[in-house]
Amino acid sequence: MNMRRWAGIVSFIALGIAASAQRDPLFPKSFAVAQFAGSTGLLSVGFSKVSRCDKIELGLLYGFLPKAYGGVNHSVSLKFAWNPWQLRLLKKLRIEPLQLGGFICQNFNKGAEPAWGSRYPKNYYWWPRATRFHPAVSAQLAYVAGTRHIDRLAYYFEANTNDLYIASYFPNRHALSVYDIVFFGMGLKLYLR
Amino acid sequence: MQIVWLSLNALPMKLLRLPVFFLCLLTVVSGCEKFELSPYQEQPLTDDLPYNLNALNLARLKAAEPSADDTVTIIYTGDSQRFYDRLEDLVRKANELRNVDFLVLSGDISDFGLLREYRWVTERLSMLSMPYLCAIGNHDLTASQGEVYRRIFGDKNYSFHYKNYKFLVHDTNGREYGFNGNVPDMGWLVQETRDTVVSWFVGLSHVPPYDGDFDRKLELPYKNLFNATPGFILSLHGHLHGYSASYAYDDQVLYLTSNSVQKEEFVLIKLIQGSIIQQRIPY
Repeated sequence: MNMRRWAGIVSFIALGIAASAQRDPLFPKSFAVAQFAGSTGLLSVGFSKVSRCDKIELGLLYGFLPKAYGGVNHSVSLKFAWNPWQLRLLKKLRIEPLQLGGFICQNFNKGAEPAWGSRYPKNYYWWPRATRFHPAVSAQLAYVAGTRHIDRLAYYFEANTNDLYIASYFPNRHALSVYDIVFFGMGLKLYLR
Repeated sequence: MQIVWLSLNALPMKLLRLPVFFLCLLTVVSGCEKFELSPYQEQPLTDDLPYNLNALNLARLKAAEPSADDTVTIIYTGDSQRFYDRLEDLVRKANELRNVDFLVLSGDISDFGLLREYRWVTERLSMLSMPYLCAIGNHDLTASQGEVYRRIFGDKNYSFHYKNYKFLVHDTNGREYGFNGNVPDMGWLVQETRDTVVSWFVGLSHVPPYDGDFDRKLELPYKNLFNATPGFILSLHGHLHGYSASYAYDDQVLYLTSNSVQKEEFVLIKLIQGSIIQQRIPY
């Protein structure tokens, strides 16, 4: 798959989200997010649209990994989550125990041009050079503010892996465990309406 | 769903423990490498990864160098990329053998050049009872231009004396540099082959000179240099994932390629007074 095409798809969807103006009947809410770790950078920030009844979240995340922490790497992710259950704990507390989804993460660093260069024959390496496909699950705990503009504030904990780790795991199920290829991140989401 | 909701409402205080459970989970995994910043990070969050392994292993090798015995015994393998199950078998077999001086890996230590893979590989190689030395492969250069390899193993080109031999470990992954005419580094090789202290020379690099991934412009100068160096007897490579042995240029130099770790066989090489004895050992 041509990497430029992927970059194109990501930016196209980004534009789509930006263009979908304030009062979208399908995606009435949105959230701003700040995340630590989670395979996208030391710190990541982003913005998502949230569908009716909080079932689907779709958005973008920009992550930065500074040199002091093993970078420099920049990443742009298209992130999707299906959020089937909201359980009320207390009057103001809500738990969303399982969000299933994933993100496509395009990395930009000194060694990884967005695509394999012209020096390689076609399909010389089988994996996209710096585009990673991450399945992810998360759980979150939300404080319901219920004001006019702020819906709730959520703390989430997320586990993810990526295509290359999965490809490493399957031929090596004796040497590697599933836990070996799963990594964590966590963050805060501020849901707005 | 309704039932879950009702039972949750019935026991709100008990379920206040859930946030506490979250915090506990955090504590279990916090401070550890399970918080991945990026698959492309060049160093881990915690500083527990070994650095400069080639230099450390060389120091170990030199410290145990016997003065009486001049035979060099090497376990020769390569391309450990993404073959962790087999790598464990290889280590087990290697540890059964006696009087092995060191093990060489002819490049492609990792498959994708990612930090996580080096951790998986070095964890297993650290179980070896003998020192091991690595050359850089094209796959090691695919992320961050080989920076992770450089941190963990050290320089791409290095040489060392052992007994009466000089080993020249170098980068021959020409395609990764767009065949820029600088890889392999001919200047460095010329300098290193001028050595008169030792009787014999052995090369170790990933891509063999007759392969399409070797810089075509440098094939002739490379093989000519080896042939013109008195005592240059052996050139070890990987990349092709299968064992082969040939006097590829009909000169004094024997060119070998190693099995990948997946092939369940390594080659035991004995160098005795400049003659080469090979034994293929399955695992």
